[in-house]
Amino acid sequence: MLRLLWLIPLLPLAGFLVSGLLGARFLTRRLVALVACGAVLLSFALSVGAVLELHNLAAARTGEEASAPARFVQTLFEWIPIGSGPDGADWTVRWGYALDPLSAVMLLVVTGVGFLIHVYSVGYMEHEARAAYARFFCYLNLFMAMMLTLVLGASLPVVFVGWEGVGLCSYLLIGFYYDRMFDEKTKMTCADAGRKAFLVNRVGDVGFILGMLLLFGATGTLDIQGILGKVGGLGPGVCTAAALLLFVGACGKSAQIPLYVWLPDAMAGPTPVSALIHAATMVTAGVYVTCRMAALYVQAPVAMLTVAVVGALTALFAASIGLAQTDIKKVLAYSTVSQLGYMMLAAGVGAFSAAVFHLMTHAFFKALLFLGAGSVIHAMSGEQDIRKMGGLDRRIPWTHATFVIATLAIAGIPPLAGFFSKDEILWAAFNRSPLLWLVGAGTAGLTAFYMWRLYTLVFRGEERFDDEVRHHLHESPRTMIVPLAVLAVLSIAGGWVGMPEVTGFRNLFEGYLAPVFEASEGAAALHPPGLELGLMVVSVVIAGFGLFLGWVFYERRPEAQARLADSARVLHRLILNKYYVDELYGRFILDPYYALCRAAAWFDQWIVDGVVNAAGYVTLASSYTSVGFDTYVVDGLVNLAGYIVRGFSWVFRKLQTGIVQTYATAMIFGIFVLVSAYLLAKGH
Amino acid sequence: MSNWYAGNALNLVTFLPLFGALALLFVNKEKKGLIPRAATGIALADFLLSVPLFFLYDADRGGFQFEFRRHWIPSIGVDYYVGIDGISLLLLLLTTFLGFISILSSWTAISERVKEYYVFMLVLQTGMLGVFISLDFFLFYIFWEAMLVPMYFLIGIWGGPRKLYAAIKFFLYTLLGSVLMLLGILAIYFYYPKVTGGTSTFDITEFIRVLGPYNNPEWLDMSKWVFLAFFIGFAIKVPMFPFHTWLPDAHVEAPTAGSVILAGVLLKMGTYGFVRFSLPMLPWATHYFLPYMLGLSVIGILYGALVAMVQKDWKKLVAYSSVSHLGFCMLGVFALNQQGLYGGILQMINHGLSTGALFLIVGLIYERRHTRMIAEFGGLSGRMPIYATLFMIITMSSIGLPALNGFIGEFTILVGAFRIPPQYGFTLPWLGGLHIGGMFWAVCGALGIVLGAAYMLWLYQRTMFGKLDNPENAGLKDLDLREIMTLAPIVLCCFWIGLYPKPFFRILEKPVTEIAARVQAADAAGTVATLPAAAGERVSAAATAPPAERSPTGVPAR
Amino acid sequence: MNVIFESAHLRLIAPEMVLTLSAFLLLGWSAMGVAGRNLWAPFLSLLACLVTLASVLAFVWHLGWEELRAPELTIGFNGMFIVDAFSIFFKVVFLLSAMLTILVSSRYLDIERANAGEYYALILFAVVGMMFLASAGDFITLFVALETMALSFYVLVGFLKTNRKSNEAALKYFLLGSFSTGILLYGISLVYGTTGTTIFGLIGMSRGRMAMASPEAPIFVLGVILVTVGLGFKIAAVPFHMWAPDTYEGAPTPVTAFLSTGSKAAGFVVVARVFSMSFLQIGDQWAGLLAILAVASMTLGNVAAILQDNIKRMLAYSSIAHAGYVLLGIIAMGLPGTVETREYGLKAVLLYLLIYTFVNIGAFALVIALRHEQVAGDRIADFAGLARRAPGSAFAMMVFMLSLSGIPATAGFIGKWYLFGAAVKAHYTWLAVVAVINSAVSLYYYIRVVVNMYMKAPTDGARFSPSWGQRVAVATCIAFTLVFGLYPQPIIAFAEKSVLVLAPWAS
Repeated sequence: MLRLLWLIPLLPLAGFLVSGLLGARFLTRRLVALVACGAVLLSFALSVGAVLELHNLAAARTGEEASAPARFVQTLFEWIPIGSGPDGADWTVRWGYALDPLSAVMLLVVTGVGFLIHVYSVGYMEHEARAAYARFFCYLNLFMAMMLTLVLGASLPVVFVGWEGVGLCSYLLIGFYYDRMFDEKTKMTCADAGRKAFLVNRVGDVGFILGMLLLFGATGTLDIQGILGKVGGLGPGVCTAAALLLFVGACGKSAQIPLYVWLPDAMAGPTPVSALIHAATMVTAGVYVTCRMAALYVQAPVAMLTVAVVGALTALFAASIGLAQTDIKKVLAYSTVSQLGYMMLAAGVGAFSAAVFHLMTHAFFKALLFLGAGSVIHAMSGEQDIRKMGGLDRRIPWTHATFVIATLAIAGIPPLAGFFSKDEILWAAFNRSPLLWLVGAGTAGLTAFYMWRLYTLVFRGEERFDDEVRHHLHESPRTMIVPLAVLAVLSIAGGWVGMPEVTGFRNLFEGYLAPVFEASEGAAALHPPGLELGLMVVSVVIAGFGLFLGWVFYERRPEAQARLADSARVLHRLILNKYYVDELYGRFILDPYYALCRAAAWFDQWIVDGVVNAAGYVTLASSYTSVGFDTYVVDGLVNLAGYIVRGFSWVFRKLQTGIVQTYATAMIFGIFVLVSAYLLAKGH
Repeated sequence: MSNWYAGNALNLVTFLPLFGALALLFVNKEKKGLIPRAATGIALADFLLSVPLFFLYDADRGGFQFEFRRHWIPSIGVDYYVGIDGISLLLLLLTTFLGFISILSSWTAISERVKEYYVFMLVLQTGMLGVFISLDFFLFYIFWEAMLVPMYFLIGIWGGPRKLYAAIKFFLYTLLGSVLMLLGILAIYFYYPKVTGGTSTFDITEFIRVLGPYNNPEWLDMSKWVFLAFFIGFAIKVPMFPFHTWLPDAHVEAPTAGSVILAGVLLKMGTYGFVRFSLPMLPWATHYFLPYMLGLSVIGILYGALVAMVQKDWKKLVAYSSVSHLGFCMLGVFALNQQGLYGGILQMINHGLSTGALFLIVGLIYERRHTRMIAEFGGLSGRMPIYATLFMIITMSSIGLPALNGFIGEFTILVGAFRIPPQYGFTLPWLGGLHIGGMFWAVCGALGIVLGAAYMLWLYQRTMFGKLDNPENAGLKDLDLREIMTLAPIVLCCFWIGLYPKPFFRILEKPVTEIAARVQAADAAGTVATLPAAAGERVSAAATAPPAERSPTGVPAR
Repeated sequence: MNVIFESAHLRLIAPEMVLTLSAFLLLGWSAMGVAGRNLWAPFLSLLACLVTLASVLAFVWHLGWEELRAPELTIGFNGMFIVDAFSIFFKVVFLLSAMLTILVSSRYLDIERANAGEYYALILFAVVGMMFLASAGDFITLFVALETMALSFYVLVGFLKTNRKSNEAALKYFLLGSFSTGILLYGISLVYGTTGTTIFGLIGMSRGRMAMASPEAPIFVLGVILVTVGLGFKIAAVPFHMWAPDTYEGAPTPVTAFLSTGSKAAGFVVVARVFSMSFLQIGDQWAGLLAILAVASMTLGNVAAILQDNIKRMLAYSSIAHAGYVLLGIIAMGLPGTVETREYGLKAVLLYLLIYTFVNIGAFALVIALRHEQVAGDRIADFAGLARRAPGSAFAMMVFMLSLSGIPATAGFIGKWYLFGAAVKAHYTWLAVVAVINSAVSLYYYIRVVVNMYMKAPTDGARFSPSWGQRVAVATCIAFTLVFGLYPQPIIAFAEKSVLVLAPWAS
């Protein structure tokens, strides 16, 4: 199956072409859906096959090479043969794919979750017009193709193709309802949201490109393994710079401070999109690349620290915003940002496999949460405001059940998936510094709290919606429920592959990834294992406490929340308005930028072009003067002279030849000019 | 057969349009159905005639091929001498390609004085092709200026409301540049015999061979002035900031096809001039002025993007985007290394394709609505899905999305910019005294990528997205087959270059390597190192080793 | 050699004699009222020119160019009359421009009700004067020839007796002309006084002996300056140009054409001759002065032309500017430098005048063709929409305009190329820069005509039908402009062969 690695991204691309070129005109909905899902399913199958084969390959190996990470590289063609470097080294950029345990995990997550969400979308989008329906699936397939390119890319430019490609798809899908308003309050349309996402990501991409160039210049290659092989020989300066630049890119994609602002608005897209792109796969690309370049990061402690701190802060910050959101998807969006912060924190403290582990589990339960939310919205005929919901548990039991599981999973309640990954991260963080652990643990509490709040407001209590909605209220079709169920199972069992060693089980996941990171996994446990268990308990307690508070405030004594809000009014308003970050950006970046543009335009029109036109005017003016001299001045003298001479001679009176005299005078004048000029010239 | 072809191809390709135009003159001007088809036929034939060059060109041998040389004006040493290397080959193909497309796009756009229009288009075609194939400076200059005349008429007769102003501005501005360039040519022409002691000539290859490595102080000093003279001529054509203001006017007023040619080919003549003449003929002067050149390029990139952001006229926005993109080309060219030149030249082609397509796109909508004000539009993607899709692809290619042509160019340019000698960069005391040599220029370029995305996406959103609230747009028709046919080939090329640019790099390899070697052989210190023996002929890739102080990594070589 | 007159020398002036005789015949024949003489006059005068041309060429054929390059055999009348390649070249130019003028004249004169044999006779006399100028070997010949030419022109300019403008123009021209002649004469006398000879060559040599310190040196230079002024008037260089616009506008258009080409060329013949043979050794001194004149002429001429609505006036100013360009060649010749550079300058002058003659007469021919009973046809606006009315003529006019502004692929470019080249070669770069910028500016007013023809709607509905003569003339000029624009080798070679041989001490 490894031979067919190249097919994995190609199949969805084919699906994209089919539904893109024919979909709107010639294919029925069923056919479009079939093509789209089929393509993804096939590439999922291929991926499974490839991963298994890779595993067997690794197992078959013997001797010292067995320790080396199993890797299969498939170089397809020379892409950008940009000649040779200063030392004559060949700088050709090749288009190739690489499969190793890390990309294998991503591969399975992307294709697997991706397929489920495709299936889910078949039901979710059924009300769309056919053209839009085809467009949706064509974008979705394109996204899969790009995401897989990103995952499999063997060299940074190829990764970058996927990187930007998924950005494009996210842009297109966020703006899918390009004629709709997204946020009445800020007058933001869906198209605006899409553009915002693209541009914020572009800012990150600049970092990515520059980091890429820096590494290229330093190592003379863009092949990821090649770079990682040479980072040891580079100076700390270069490593730090490159790592930080790449991290800027990661911040863009994975919505870290300060570039997270696009993700909440990305909810303008259809819910399956939010699940696939803005929760499970694309937004984790940043984390993925960071882990890919682990060997580089470990060379640059400064960068590592930055990553860890930024991650921790993002986690806490976003979680706190999540507390007060009233839009079901917005809550999940901020929780996504927060969880991504978690992963970054993990990467930052050197626990790369933990990061990837959390990436996986998060993909399961966050996708589940979003799909569940979608199912709710679907049921509520488009309503997204959780204040207008409630008491849905009995009406949409399947959705409810799966949603509970996901909530507990993200809250980190054992033995669900979230617990193991989150715990591993916290433990690693503690090893780096207790402070980071504290932030992480606090975030865990907040997460549990707002998730339970969300759950309660949506499913518990009395119904707060009108009869119109109640009348249409219905459980979603099977195409939507089945994926929910599958994801629920994964959210429960997904974590068991990564049991902490202290519990006596073998951490299969870490073991699987170990070869990739063995160079990088620096942080050996410098604390007694007992402590790990203790912290485990603590974190569970914190999570439970969060859940409890959520229950207290939103189910037991709803009036209490009002009191809480008053007691910390400033903080509450701050959180309610998301810390005014968007406003700040608008004030301090966008407005000045537009002003600058206007200034430049003015400058161009009145100064740069002004000079050009001025030159023209000057010529004209001088023309006027010279002609004026030739005709008017001279004629003036003429008439004057004419009057003077009139008395003398009738000839001269008849023909106003004063003119001639003046001309003659002019010539005399000319002579003087020449003579004096000559004398001057003779002077020197 | 193929021998015969190789011997005469360039003359055929270049003068076929001219003779076509002469033939058209004898067609009754009332035959408004026949004339456009005939002209399109000629242009297509010309394109097809030029395609084999792409395959017959021997990339391994490099150098000038398909040469054709006859004595012309012996008493001043002028020959009719044409030939192409990889660089001119690509530009030649671009010209024939866009020529055909722009003529095809004019069928419905041009309704009065049809015959004259196509005659001028074809004559213009010959003029531009001539510029790219000339290997004799005199010949080059004749084409270079003569081709202004048809362009002047195209703008002046079939242009918009302010056509006369725009046309004369274009003509005068560019003419002013080229007459100063003429003095530079004369200076070289008179200096050459002093060096060789032989007869005077206008043979460009001779100038490059002899004057390029020549390091007599008198000449070095003089070459500064020659460089400036060339600079004025080329920079106005490119156009580089601050010589660009003729461009928006000309673009806005010109008919669609005119804009396509203007952006697609005319501007390239400036960049081509730098690559073909300034760099290899005046390497030392090039180094001498390098910081200013780089500065202007970068200013162009950012400035163009900023100004484009606030344009209300669709076409004007695209025009300013050209300023930005050409800034990229110049940045690449003046990186003075293989990558930079690769990227710069490739970006010329890319810009020709994407911006040409963008002007076609504006033209298509202008034909339907007779306005270009962005505010007039919105929500068109619902009405015109095909149009919207093609526009989206072109937009992406123009903002350099990977897997499309724009990215290849920009990426390569940035790699080149990154290698710009450290003395044109800065040192950061923090980060372990990291010296970002080319990094600075690369950063500026990369910034341009963001800004480019900003204005293009905003343009796209304002025209294609949103509610279709302007009733006048309600009746808009999507593209018909002919219109698709004008855009589809360009889109295909965008993907081709984006996904498999190798053939282009292959074709460019030898010439680019040689130019890079020549210009690197001379360094800013004012001494011109003697070239490797091969340099006189075709420099091999091995010969591109730059002077030692040029360390490609950010770190000072240790 | 104290013999003033040798019958052998008569052959040298054979062509001039032929022309003079035919002119007299024509005059007399037109004086006696033969019916339809006006019809025949043009033909006869053409014939006369052809015969003269033939005789000139016969002379060349008889001696061969090489002889003419080194004109020992061909200096006659004690050095007063020189027949060398240089003079031959210009005689050809004069004859051609006269023929072209004659071709475009008759229809115009019919319309002006002024068709008379004398007109053609006068043109022939003018040509005689020019031809003598071309061969003048000393100041006396020069002066007489100049007057011959001038007098004919005074009459020609005022030929439209009933037209007030024409008369006024004639009088101005006459008065200023005689005034400038006076100055010239005074200059000559100073030169004669300081050198004791009027023969160009001898002046040059004696100047060689005359130390710069010697008391008469300044007087000599003053003489040079006065001569410069006198000739500056003939070539209408600023600030001696003021007669030109009025005269050009007032004169009958064909005469204007002839004036702007023939007479200007004649002026330059003398300038080239005198400054190369007599004043070359103080070239470094007068080159500066001429540079002033050149800059002033180019700049004022072009700048002033921008605003003209009357095309004759515009072309007048443009011809002033062109005089400025041509001075570049003279300057390049004058500057101390290699013989090669000096000859390059001269070559440029020759080439340019030849080309300018055809291009300018071509342009005027179309102005003349525009004239019909109702329309004066001398306003630029009268060209409006010509492209619709007469594509061919419009195209021709466009080519002439572009050629005047020096756009490549036209002969005008070759001429400018040589002139600017001369300046660059002589390291007078700043002058070249001024010149090229000027030529760019000049495009602005030349293109106005094109704009009118191609981008404006016709105002004049009348059918546009040039006479056969005009057609022939335009055809010749356009052929010349385009053919030699693309393949200038022949005329370049012609100019190269005809370059005046500089005295051995030139370098």
